[in-house]
Amino acid sequence: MSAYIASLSVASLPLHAVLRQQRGIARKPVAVFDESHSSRAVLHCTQPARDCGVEIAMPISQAIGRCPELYLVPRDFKAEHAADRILRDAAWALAPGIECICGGHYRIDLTGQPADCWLPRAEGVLSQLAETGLPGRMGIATSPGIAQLAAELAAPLLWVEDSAEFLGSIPMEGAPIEPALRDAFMLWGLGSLADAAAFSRQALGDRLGSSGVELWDILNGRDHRPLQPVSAEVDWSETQEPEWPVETVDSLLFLLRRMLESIHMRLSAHRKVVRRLQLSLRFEDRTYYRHTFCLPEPTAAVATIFAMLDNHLQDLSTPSAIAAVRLRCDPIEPLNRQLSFFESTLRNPARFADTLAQLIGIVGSDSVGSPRLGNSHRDDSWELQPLADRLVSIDGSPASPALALRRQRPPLPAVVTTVNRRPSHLRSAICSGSIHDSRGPWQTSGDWWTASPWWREEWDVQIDDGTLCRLTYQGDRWWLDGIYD
Amino acid sequence: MTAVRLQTPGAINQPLVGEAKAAAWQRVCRWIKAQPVVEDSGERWSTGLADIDHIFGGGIPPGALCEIITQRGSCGGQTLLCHLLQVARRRRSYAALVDLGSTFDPQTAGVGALESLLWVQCTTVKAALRAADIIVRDENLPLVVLDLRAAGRFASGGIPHTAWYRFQRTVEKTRAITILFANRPVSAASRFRWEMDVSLRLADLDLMSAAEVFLRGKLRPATPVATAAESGWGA
Repeated sequence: MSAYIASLSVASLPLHAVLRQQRGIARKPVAVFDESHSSRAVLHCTQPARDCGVEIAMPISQAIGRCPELYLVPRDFKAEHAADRILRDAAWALAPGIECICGGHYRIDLTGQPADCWLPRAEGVLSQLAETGLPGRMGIATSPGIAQLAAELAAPLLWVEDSAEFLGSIPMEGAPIEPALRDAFMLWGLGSLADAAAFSRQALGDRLGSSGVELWDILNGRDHRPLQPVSAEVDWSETQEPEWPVETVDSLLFLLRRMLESIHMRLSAHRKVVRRLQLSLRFEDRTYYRHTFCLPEPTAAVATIFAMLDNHLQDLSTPSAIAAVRLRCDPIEPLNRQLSFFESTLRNPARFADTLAQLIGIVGSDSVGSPRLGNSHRDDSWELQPLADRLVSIDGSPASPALALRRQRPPLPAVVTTVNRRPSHLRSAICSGSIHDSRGPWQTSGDWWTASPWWREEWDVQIDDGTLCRLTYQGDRWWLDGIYD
Repeated sequence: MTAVRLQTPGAINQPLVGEAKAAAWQRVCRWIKAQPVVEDSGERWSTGLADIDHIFGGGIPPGALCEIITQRGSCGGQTLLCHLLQVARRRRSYAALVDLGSTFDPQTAGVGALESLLWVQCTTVKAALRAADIIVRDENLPLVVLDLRAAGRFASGGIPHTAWYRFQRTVEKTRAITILFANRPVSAASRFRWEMDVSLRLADLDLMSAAEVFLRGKLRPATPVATAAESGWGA
């Protein structure tokens, strides 16, 4: 098994860090400049800006002269830090041994992993990065230098199995090396980097100095050195303080989605899922809003968590505009348990949680739930509990009476005539008639050891129109409990 | 084999009056009885009650709004309802009961029916229909029972036929087993409408199986919605 090194980077990180924070400017001519630098030159710019003649290192006055619609954005170090953290999490998702070469560039040691293991994961990581607004690129080779060259040319993933063949395929005009070296090689008539690698180390050092020796080492795979691993301290929170206060739900949701995507990368890297999520909003009047979400089923899916936040925020009214947003998650290990063959569960617990919330909004929290019988012989004793999240198979059906009762809640007062201490005629609001058959009395009592004892006498009767009723004699009065139906 | 529907309420909703209406309805009933009980393809939801499975063509079809009418007090409606909930539990399926008037009795429903049941107690017909619609859209609970038999005790505010048609479209789309219990026909969009015709006796309280109760009685075709509208239900 070959030991591979991956090089993961985002080209023009300061530009993409800014673009992912602001909606709708990615397709416009945008240039990032450094406010702190006296020259105020263009650091990075988008392709539409290049098409208008804007170039890197150009003074911004000249850039505006060439492109009057140019959208000038100062460099945002906080955004760059956030983007760099996303990239670091993405690198961690591939392997634990990673080294930060510089901001926006990581080297990953894939030693010990077979290609069919890291290749699909690398593709997944790049796909996730693209979703977060960071166009990552990755090169994989047996030496770090070749991996970096491959990353420069990747779109977005390039796996170099044969270094000599790879170097031979790179024409010198487009070789991602120092311009001075490239010009020298072209003067010598070299067609590709493979030609440069064919020189002896001594010869290249004599002619080009230390930079030539360094390049020879890279091209010949002699640049191996131990990685300086990044420490694995993980912060499970994400904070955003936008430049302008957030006044609409749409803007807030845009920010939250970006933050969730960032957290998702971290969760994926550490194989975790979210159990609880805390949302904190700081308003301009220095007041705070905090809400903790308990997920019905731990998940790391951005869409599920985002839908939950979206539903919650739709009804939220705030005292003033939002100055800062913070998301903090409580991660746990995913439950890797397969359902048994005779077990079933809800198809989509997250959606069911939303449905329950809607039902509670219509009928109230006291009217929705799964009924459970109370531990008492008292009539109509039950309580509502949350619906079981898992159903196991039952052997047959527990014994229960065939006829079910339709209850009257509360019981209806009834006028009952008795003959020989048995009911003979019933008059109530829903049914009346002579009783031609009856069973009873069934006497029950309970709670006699408490301050509220109860006693009742039940009769099951059938009146002449065929209706089967349950009557109760309680508190010196007759009640119609319900109808057997 | 040609697929024939048991009943098409919309098609028989003719503005007939008096004897003509009664005669037309008798003809429809005779026609229904003469039809082979064959339905469109798809997995059926067997109730375990041979008579009821037979009239639905081998079980209750998913994606069809089925209406069960119980005009009399003790005709087996609640027993059938609880039996369906027990069947759902035996199939390890979740079920929802949208109960207008909170008439469901957990103590006589059978312990087996409770674990997988979501009980939603409503106080208006509109809230009940809305709750049922939300549950059907959720697609987590394969069986949805909407019990509107207590509608007479509550202010319904009137449910337009269009609302029932919209509900039926949702049921069709999600393929939920949806059964509506009412004491008279209410939904013009129901694909099936049957009336409970079981006479319960006091001795039935000793029975331990709903199947024994339904051996004596049957379901028969119910009156169409036009008659119900004239009677003013829900208006």
